[in-house]
Amino acid sequence: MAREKFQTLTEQMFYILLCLQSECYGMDIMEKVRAMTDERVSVGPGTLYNLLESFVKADMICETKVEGRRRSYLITDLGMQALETEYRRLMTLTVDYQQYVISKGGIPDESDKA
Amino acid sequence: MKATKRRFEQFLFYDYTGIERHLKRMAARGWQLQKITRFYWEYRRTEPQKLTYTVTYFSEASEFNPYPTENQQTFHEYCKNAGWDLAAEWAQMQIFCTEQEKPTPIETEESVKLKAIHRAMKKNFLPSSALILLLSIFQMVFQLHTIINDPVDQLSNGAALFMTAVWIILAIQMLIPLIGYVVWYQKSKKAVSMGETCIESSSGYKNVSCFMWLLTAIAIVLTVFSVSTQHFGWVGILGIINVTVLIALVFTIKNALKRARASRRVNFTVTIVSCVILSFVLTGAMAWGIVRGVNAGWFGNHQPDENYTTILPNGSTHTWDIYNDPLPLKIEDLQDVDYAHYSYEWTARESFLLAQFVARQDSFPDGQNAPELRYEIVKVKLPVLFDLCLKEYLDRYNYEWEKPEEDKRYFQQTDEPAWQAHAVYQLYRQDEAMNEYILCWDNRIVYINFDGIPTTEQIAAAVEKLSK
Repeated sequence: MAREKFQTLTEQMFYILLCLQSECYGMDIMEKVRAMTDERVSVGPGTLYNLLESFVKADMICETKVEGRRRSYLITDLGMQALETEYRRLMTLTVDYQQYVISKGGIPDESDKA
Repeated sequence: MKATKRRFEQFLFYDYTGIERHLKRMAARGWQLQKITRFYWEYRRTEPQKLTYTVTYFSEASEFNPYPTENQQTFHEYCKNAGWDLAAEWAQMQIFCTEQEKPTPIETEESVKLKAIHRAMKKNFLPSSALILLLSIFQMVFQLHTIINDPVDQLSNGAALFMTAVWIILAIQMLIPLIGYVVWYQKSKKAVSMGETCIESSSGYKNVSCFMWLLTAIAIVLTVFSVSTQHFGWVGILGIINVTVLIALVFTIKNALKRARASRRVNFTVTIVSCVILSFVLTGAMAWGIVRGVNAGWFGNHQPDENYTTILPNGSTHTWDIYNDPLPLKIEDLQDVDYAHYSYEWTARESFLLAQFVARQDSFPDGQNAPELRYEIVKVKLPVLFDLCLKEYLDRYNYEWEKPEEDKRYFQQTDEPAWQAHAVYQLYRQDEAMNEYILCWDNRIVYINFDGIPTTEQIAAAVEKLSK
């Protein structure tokens, strides 16, 4: 099922969704994501096409305009939810990191106790 | 230098790594891919260039589409935007190339790529290969069944052997890419789930495939050779021509429809329907041609040397075919005979597995009470087939199983040293010996239908003429 498929978002999925909070042409997403992440994350055209198709099928984005071959998309509520879930998951990771990393004064592992 | 070059390429459909590497090498030598057809790849001459190629699979694409679909065009636009130009298409396969030094790869996420590839394979490559494989296996089983039930006839016939070999080779040719893909897909799925890239496809399958083509060539040569020694081989050759013509016609139709911009559904339906109709028409034409040919004596059953026509009591005429072939054993060798009207007919069929010779000395017209003789010689070249062939002869009268016991005929082994054979079988009815024998010498089986129980001298004459 599409929902299960997007339980955790990969970086590329994450940034595409982030990008589509405002209406955007499919073509421009590649450039936008590169700009957003300072060239760190780049989405290939094939991956972009397939992900946009999957997102539409999963109802996480919707097609707003079709001008010939230029299509624009916009995120849906479901998509926003997925983004937020992913954000919270990532925050949990950072919290756990701060809590358990030893060099930052976190709680050491049991086996370290003398 | 020519402007375009055509090459027969032997790539498995899912071997994108191999194809990308190959195209990069060709471009460095000054040949850029222009078009892919079912039989060859076409390259055009350019300046040697350092190009990077990427092979992707677009599941919506189809060889029946007159134009690329809307989605396909959008996909091409995205790629173009990133600096990739479409070089060629092959059904679901889309091949892009770029001149950029460090291009953004078309696929940046392995799991998405793997899913797209598998979707495209499920659409065309997997079902069509599986279908042909099943068809070949069915044909193979059918052929084997026929051979086991009728070994002497089938195995002495080069054409039947060749057709069996063809089906076996076709089945293997379909199986290799299927297995290769399944293995690749499973391994890649595992790799991707662990965060790695899809694995590279192994080149081992390509080598096996080349080997199969070599086998096919050898099989064809063997058949042509057997054709020159025996006319029935022509039927096998005709069969191959039949299939080749069918394939060529079907592709011509498909391409014509594509050029005429017919929709995918129309193109697909018309192509399939015409394929079915044409296969019936061509097979029918071939069968009709063979029947005509056999009657005209083109295919081996040689023409009778003369004809003899009698007028029956009810006024109708009957024509007898008279042959004058040399026979190793004739009635004249067995007894004194005082009859002038005999036909001596000799039929020979041979393959590299066994040979069958059928001899008939018939008197004409009916009712003259002149002695007649019939015998068949089977030379078994492959010893393991001996028992199978012998069984066919021993079971000759098994069709009489429904008759009452007193009328059933059967072969029984007897012990007559006069024959100097490994085994002697005589025909019996109830307990009465009859005039038909089956003899086994070395690698030879001989069935004789005498004109009455043979005497010792007659047996000796038969042994002398037929046992070698």
